[in-house]
Amino acid sequence: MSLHSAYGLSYVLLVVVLSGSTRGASPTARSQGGDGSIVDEGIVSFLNEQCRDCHQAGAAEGGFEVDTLLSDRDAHERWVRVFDRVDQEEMPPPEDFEIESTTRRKFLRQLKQELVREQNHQDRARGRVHGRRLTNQQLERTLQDLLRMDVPLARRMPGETRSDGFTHLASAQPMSHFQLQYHLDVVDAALDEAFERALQPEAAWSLDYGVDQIVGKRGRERNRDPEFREGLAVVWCSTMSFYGRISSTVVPDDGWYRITLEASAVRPRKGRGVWCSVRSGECVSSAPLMSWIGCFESTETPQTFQYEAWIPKGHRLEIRPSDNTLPRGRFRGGQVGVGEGEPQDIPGVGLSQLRIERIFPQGAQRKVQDRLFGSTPIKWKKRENRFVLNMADPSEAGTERWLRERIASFASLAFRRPAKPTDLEPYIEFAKATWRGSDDVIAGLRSAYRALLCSPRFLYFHEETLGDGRRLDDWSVANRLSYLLCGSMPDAELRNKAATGKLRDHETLKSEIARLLKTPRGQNFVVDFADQWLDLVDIDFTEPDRRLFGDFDPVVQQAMLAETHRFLEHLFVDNRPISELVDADYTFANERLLRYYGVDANECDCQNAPTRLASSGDGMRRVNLPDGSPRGGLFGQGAILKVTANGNDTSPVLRGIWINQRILGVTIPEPPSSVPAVEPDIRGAATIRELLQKHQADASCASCHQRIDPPGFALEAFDAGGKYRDHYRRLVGRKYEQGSAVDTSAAFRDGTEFEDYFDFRTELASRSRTVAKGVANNLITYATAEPVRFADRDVVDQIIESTMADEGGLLSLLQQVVLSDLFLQK
Amino acid sequence: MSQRSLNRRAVLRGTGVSMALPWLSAMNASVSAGDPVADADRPRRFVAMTFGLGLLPENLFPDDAGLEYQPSRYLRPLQPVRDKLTVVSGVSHPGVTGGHRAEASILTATAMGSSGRSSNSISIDQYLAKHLGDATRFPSLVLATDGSNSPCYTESGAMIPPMTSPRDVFDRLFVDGSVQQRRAQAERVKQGRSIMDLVAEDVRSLQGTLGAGDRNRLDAYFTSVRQLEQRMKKSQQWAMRPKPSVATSELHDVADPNNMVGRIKTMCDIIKLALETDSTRYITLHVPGNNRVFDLEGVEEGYHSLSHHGRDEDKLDQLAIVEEAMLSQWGEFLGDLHQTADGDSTLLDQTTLFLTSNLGNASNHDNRNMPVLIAGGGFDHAGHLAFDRKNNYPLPNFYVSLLQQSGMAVDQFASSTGTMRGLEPNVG
Repeated sequence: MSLHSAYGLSYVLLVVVLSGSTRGASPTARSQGGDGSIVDEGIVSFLNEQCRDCHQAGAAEGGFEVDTLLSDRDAHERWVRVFDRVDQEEMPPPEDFEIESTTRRKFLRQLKQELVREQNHQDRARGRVHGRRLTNQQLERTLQDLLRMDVPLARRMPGETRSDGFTHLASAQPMSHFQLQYHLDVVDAALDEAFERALQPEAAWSLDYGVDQIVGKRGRERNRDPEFREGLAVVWCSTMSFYGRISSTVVPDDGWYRITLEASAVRPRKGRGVWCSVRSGECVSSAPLMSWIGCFESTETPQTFQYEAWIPKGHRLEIRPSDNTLPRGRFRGGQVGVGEGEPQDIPGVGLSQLRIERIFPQGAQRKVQDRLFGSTPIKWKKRENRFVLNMADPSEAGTERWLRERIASFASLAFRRPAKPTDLEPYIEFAKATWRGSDDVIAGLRSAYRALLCSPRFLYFHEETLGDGRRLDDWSVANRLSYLLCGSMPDAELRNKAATGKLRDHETLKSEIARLLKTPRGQNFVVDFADQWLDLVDIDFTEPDRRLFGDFDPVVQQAMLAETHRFLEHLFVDNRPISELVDADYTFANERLLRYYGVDANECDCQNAPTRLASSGDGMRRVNLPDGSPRGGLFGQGAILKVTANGNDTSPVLRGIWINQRILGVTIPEPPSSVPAVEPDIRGAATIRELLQKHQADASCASCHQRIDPPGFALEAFDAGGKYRDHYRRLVGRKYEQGSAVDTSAAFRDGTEFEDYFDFRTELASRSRTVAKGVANNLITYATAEPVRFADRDVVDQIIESTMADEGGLLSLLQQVVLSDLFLQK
Repeated sequence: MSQRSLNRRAVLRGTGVSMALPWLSAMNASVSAGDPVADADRPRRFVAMTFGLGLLPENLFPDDAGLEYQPSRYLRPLQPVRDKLTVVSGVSHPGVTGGHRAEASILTATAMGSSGRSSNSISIDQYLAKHLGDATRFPSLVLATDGSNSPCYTESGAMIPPMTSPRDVFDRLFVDGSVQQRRAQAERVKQGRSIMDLVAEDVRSLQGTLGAGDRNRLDAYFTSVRQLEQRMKKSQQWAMRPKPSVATSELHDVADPNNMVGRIKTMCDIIKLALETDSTRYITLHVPGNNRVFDLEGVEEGYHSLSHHGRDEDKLDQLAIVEEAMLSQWGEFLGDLHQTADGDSTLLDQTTLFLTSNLGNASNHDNRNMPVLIAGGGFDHAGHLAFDRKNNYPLPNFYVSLLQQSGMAVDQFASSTGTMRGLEPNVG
């Protein structure tokens, strides 16, 4: 498009872009729309007067062309960016131009009006969130809750891509026949399991070991099992793989098991216990992967610990000291013989009892039968070696009626709303056909369940609105709320509230939030939310460089995760002020994590705190930190510091972007493709600050990096393993030496300077609205499966304002998000 | 390497079913001797191997361009098939950024945007499978050595989950279940088809009650339901025909995830079997950028950690060992295909092999200067095809060359600007 014609066209095109493009009209109809012409003219003249000089076609600064914007039909996001940059007085560049604030305000008002009007119009026609479907995890939990079985299924589904950090954004959920085939396979696996559990005798399995059975060595035998020593089955500290396996504990089937063990420390170091891990695996070198079960700190006094874990068939237990700071023994040839650890003066763990039993966390067999067959009695048929139905009326008509009732009842649960008889008729006909074809009523029932679980009414959020076409009905609200807090279908009480029309009442909704957060299923909320919001799902993605982080081990990593989870649980359940998210004088930790952090436990006041996330033996407590501790608040937490680094070094850019998007609610656009990323160089020739100097020098870099770099610089106070540092380490040959000093000073974009990380943290804590906005944005995205859009911004502001009386308490934020139109409207 | 022809009887059993016979080129070796096959009629195959973490450019790209290049460290193991190989430098997908996220764009060349929310487009292997894949039992195979991601996408932008167990792939391709199992399976598939019909109706009836936004989204579901029903129908037809029999009777998984090279080798073996039996013609093997510690002499750290080498010599050394081992394995695979007859040609000449990664530099997540190796496929190979490393040449142009080489009259794929300069299609 030539510059000349662009001038002439811009007015018409702007009308197209701003008013018409989303109304679904044909291009001709759009340009004839012509409403709001005075407003549009104002916007165009502002752009022509204030922007065009630098942003004209062919020679546009920063890759932004006024003309392209005016002609681009999908320009919404770019218009928002224009709005933001003018709003934040970045553009026109203050150093070059001065514009009247009234001119600026008028332009912003007009542009905002247009953008909001366009989006509202679209929402009225289409709704804000379209066709959201169950994620893999939600599918798994829903099938488990629906069928009362407990097999993990999510791992059998195709992996999910995260966009904006979240796996479940409706607009990014793909669908294809491949996806559907996997779904059908998972449905089959779930039904196989449920019907088998309902119709086969219950499989009980357990083993109960004393020391003699735990010990796996006879005489001079050398292997990797525990040895007998002074009445205990002992495993010494060692780096040997699978040492501590208990060979005979192979489980007979995939399933959930409860593990109860009694252990004590052997030769602990003065004043502390011996940290140990409990894992399962095949424990052979051809299949070396181990699954984490839990950890405990053994002490000289024997203690009992208990875990529940899904263990695949063929796995056995491995229980061993797991603390990289302890001295470790050396054993010849990858085997350990009795007494070989003794002279090496190394710590170990001693087991005295071990019990493993098969459990069914979703409950007894009767519960599965209830879900599949309702109250119809089941009787054991010895000849066929299985249970059969004992129907009250086994006649043709009686059976048909039974099928009809069963299908209606199952469908209402599966669809998360009462199913209409007309919608169910095809499914009932299908069940009848299968039943008649096979002369097996259970086969008929099962075929209908199989079909119902492939219905879009199950797989998608089927949302209906009340008369105004915007407000969601009770069932839709119950569904959204349950998936937000539990990641699964509504429970009986919530269904009851929906059935009686109580979920339109705000107080009821608030009390339901509080209630659900306290249920066992509601404990998923902080974990699920943090997995995505804070990237904790990536905790395993990097492994800290062993040469740099010799004392990092799996027990430390688990404690880091537990720290953040417990912290968030506390903030939400106790409705703590938003400022504590970034600056708190306490944290949650165990002895091992405090030691890793270099915090002296004796200087802290440690206390047990209530939690529903407790894992036996992990020793996590609330720790009131001494003054001046860099810990306390999200940025001092190892899990956060680890997921924002790459295992050996840190990048202020990556951490800075992370803080902006996850905590401050600022979206950072991709860098222009012409800019090379900084090449990490740990040889220490130049500090990262020197490398990033260019950002400040170049105006188009600076516009984003003024936001990105400062928080990133502040977090340079922590290395890639989450340890506090005041100097970098520099690689010389194969050894690390002390490098240059870490400089964590910088200034916020508004000019407020901070001297160091501590200063940064204090300053950020005082900006509670900013942090509340960041959390609210992420909560809204998580709760509604649609990111916050331009038109939603006023709602976000209202949400934040309404929580300020509670200092932005996190529970208040969550409640206000749920009570907002974004959540309660289609 | 032995040249094996398929047992004719094994193939002809069950040909009573009226379906287009696949090419069955392994069998064709005996048929074609006196009966020359026109070049254009031979099946053209495509096998992509994609890496999640790039390849160190200094060990891959030769210093000099053209046919007379001095082999770099990584190219040394590929020298036996040097005249059937082109190494390409200075290419990338225009506009594709996002570091690891660009893994989704390797075979689609579509930029996924900053949030990853723009939807993806069809990948080159699926494009081929969609248009030419009906001739074989499986339109395509999507494989990975580990993980749950593949670079293969459907038209609707949905990722195709990879199969990661060689044993499962082997069973799918070559093992006929017992009569009872097949009957039970056939029954499930048959019921599945009825369910898809039933559900399709339900989608339509539900759509009638929904607003425009939900309604549009459910269109994709409706299409998937119809397509799955079609796929089930095809698989029912194929289920009547026995699967090809091969000399290997079963395949074992490499359980140790650290034995990545072993996993690649096993997958290459099965890919060769799939090509030989003409079970499919379009195969992708993805090697993800996980953090396994490769069980190779001299390697102590996880693959992903090594890729963030930060110019640390020690890490660069270890990374080179890992990458060299993977390329040697690919070289063996090429040599193997070179030794295997495909009709009156060889599998290497009939199969375009493509090796690449979304990352040109994994240490800083740069998506430019992708590592690219192209072998076989009957191309007139160019040695080292060197484009501008500062201003990259569009890699989608290779996809257009490939499509034309596969017999499709297509002159555009994603952001292509033509066929690849220096690697033009040569099959009429």
